[in-house]
Amino acid sequence: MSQTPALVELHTISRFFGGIRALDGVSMNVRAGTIHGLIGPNGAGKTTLINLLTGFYRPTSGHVLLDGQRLDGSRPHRIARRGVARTFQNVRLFSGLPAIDNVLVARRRGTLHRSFGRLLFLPGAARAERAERAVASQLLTQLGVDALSRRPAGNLSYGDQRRVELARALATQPRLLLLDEPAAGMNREETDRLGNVVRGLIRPDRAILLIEHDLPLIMAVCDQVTVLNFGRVIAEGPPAAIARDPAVIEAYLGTEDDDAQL
Amino acid sequence: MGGLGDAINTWYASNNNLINDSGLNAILALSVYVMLACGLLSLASPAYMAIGAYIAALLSNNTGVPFPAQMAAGALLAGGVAFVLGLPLLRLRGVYLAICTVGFVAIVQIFFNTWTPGGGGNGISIPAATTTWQIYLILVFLCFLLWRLEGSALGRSLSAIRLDEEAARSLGIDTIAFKLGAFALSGVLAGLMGVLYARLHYYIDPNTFGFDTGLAALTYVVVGGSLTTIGSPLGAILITALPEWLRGLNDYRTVVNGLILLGVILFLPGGLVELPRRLQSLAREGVRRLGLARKDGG
Repeated sequence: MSQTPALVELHTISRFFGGIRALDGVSMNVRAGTIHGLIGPNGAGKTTLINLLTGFYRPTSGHVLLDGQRLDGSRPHRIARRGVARTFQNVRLFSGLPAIDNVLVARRRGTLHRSFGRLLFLPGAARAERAERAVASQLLTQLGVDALSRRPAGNLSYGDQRRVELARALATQPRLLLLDEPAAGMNREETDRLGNVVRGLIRPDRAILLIEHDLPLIMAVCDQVTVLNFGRVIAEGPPAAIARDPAVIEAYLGTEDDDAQL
Repeated sequence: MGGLGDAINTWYASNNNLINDSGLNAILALSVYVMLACGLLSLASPAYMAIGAYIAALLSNNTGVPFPAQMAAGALLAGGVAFVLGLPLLRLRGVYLAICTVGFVAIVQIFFNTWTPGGGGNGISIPAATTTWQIYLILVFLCFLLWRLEGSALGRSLSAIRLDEEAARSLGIDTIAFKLGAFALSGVLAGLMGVLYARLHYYIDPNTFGFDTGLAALTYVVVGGSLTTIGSPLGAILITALPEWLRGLNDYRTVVNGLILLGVILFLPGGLVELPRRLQSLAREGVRRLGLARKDGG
């Protein structure tokens, strides 16, 4: 399993904001067919890393490869079309649109044909649109929110919004799925159910990068974990090894010196 | 039957200016609507309209180019100018974009004030050609096109951009292309309207194509409803015709306009197209309360 080539490679990525080093020489690989956890204290650079992978930021130095091809420097929509999808730390749905339309927006293929075909009442366009609607509906079913598909997304509960957002990201058929704290605001039971859902999303040609503060979830679903602190990788390995790593424990719990200062 | 026909003819004869202007304003409103549909607040429409109107004047007075070809020329040139204007303005949002478009309107107005082929500040006369049925045929056609697009994948993408641009980009939507498309379409619609306007009114001068025309167009859209195609023409026709219906109020006519605008913004954020649904829910609520009161009483 460790022989599969990396889907995503980060080569000494740095990103500075003024004098702040949000990421400082981060290198890591994410392999297809795995769930890769990314953990670290607040401000460690996790979300910055997602914004780099999706093209919303450019690295100050270093580069990112997807399937061996440069990813950084492309515009966000091009990166999305190459198979990178994300969810947001604070859910960002199109709140005025019905849940199913949120998912349909992500089905880009044939957009022009479907739209101009609709102008001319072409039956093929209507058929294509129905097919996309069926895909969207099926994704909502997969995540257990199909009953809410016609409700405005903004009126859904927080948990249901997270599910719709995940369905929307999946609708792009991503090869790299970036989940930014998907369990935030969920209780233990909901988090465990989310863990099962995430495990079910894994495909041989897909990698999932899971950013999470919930360590039990990370331990339960991840094949590999990278730990960031102050923009640097301080540990990497399988979850069990990470949990015992002194550097990780120090980053999360502080050293005895810190306690003394308190 | 003849009596009814005569009545319609008489009504049309005494109101035809109003009917024509309502239709034209409806097209102008659509040009603001297509920008708002993807979250862009633009007041540039009078500038595009001026381009269309002066193209019509030049072609009518100096060449034998037929009317439909003038429409195409005015629409395409204004659309092209709008597209080019969009390139530097793409990064701006909200009120900053609006301010820049107001500046653009001022520039275009000053240009035509000094442009001798168009008569400068004195304006220019043009042979009339536009008829009422042409205006309304074009309006209905445009409404139909936009209404069909609104329910399509393109329409959904525009809504997505309006609601959350960053999320839209993260799903693979080329927001820049969509916004440039909206600029161009806005220019095409207002340019076409400008040609029709010039060839309806015999005479144009730069004063027509100013800030207040853009503001009026924005008002039509807000009052009618900025979330659906049909809202813009509805608002345009209502507000254009209203001052005439309220002629008895003399100087207070514009006050009524202002009150309608205020009322819509405060109570019907989705515009007048929301009114039936709003009344329905109010009625339902009323019935429910009445039922409760009866139960309490009994």
